[in-house]
Amino acid sequence: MTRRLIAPTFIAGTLALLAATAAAGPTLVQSEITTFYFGVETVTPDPDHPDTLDNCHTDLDVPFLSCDWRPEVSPNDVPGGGDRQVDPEDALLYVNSAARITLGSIPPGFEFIGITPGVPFWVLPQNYAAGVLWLGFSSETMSPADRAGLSEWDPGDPRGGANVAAKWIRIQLVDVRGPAGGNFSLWQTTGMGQADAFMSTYDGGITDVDVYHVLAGSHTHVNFGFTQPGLYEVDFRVSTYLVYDRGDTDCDADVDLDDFVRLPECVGGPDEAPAPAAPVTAQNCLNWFDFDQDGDVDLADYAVFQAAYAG
Amino acid sequence: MTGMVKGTFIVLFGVGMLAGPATAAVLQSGHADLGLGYEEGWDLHIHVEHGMVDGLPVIDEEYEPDALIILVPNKLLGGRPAGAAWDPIGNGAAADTWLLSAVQQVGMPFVGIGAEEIAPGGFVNDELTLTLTQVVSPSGAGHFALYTTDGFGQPQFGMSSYEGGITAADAITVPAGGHLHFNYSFTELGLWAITFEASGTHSVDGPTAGSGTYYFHVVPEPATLALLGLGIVLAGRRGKAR
Repeated sequence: MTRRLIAPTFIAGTLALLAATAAAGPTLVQSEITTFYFGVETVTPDPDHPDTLDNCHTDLDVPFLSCDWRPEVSPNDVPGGGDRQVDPEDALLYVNSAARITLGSIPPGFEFIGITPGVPFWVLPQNYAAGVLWLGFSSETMSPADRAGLSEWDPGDPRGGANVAAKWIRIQLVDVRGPAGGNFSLWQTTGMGQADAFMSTYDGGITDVDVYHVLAGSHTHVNFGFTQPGLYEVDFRVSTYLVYDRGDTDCDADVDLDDFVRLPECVGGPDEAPAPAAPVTAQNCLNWFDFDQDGDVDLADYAVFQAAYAG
Repeated sequence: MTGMVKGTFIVLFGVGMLAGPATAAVLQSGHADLGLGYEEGWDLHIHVEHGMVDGLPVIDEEYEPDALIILVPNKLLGGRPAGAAWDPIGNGAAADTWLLSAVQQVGMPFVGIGAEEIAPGGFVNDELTLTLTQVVSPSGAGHFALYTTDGFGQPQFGMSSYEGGITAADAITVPAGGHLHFNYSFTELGLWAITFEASGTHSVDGPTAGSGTYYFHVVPEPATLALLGLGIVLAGRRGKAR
């Protein structure tokens, strides 16, 4: 998506925050890239993503839970079904024929979807509607303690009111692999009927403004648009800022032996990505120990860790 | 709040017609639901998920409808949108309009309608109806509406005190076990009392209905209540939600 509308304030906010993270204090923690799979009138069941979610309420869960990101797909409010958690890899977020729309003209302000008058496209709607998947984002599973660990920060993004300091979670669109000519978009309409376009592969391709900020602990619904049938693999990376210093790997407000024992398997040479053993991920290592935010955990980071170590 | 503080309220905002609840806390921001419960009869309440009440953080508490006034501090920039589709709000294009938004906004109440306490199978088709039955506006001439906007920004009204007055058609369906968010519009400043009737066909008790009156206070700006220095009154708190 192009940055012309929001870039100045958005970038300013981001830079201010990055400057802050260079010192002690708000610590950026990013998730791994998580891929969600959308099937737009595809054949089901899909053997690669066997859990078809259609015609129910489902959330893409993006909580920072017990000191780590836990992205999941969470179908809930399903009549007689109760709540459950699905690995994003296993879930097919299904966009059925009832979500297919054809418009004679493009409403002003909605050009970012990438639709052509008279040509069908598909929308999972922000409001509950019988017959289609009602998809939102949630971090409601975060406990008061989880929320207390997050720092307040100002994304500087007027879309969705994300231009005030609060405990925000940033959902960044990283990549979309879909059918030829297929565009993906994500937006919300306000109480005044205006569009807040958060993500669009049509409008200027994917850039750092293809981002949606949600409040930690909240649950929101948005519109998901698709312009061609087929399978879309949508990559998101979520991030936020913690009140804990980097090096405090277990979010217990100190840097001690419990943190130190995690260091060896994360350390590599300069410019080498960490290669820890599962379940620890390279991204965990970077969140925990990459003090200078240069994509590795090397001796420079170890020196900073030692200074922070309280024993 | 105390009677004395309440007196201050009325003078400042000119709330003439409506005597508000005698003792009530104020929901200043955060997520709450108008809760539709049923246990051998209807139990309409307010469930604060997490919010600020009288300046203090509150997590997972229930209040009687008349024990918590919901603040409405959000005036629409530019006033009511133009176009006949917006007429059910009850004023003219660009007229002053205040909104509780269906989208959460920092520092403002975010009020849904929830029937999460009602188990599946408790009501026929797992369907409840919430009907607008009375609107008491500060001047007596104000209007209230409840609506969503669709993916292309068109409003879809579930309730309006304006168009055709209040009738049985001013109703929405709420799924048992579910929770929905709406925009609530108000056309004037001051204290409002809005009565809803919840109804449905209970699987054991048959057709049943129960009412609750909720209070909304439309204020000029978010800081106003803080300036009043409202005390901490939690008389209506019912304790942790079930």
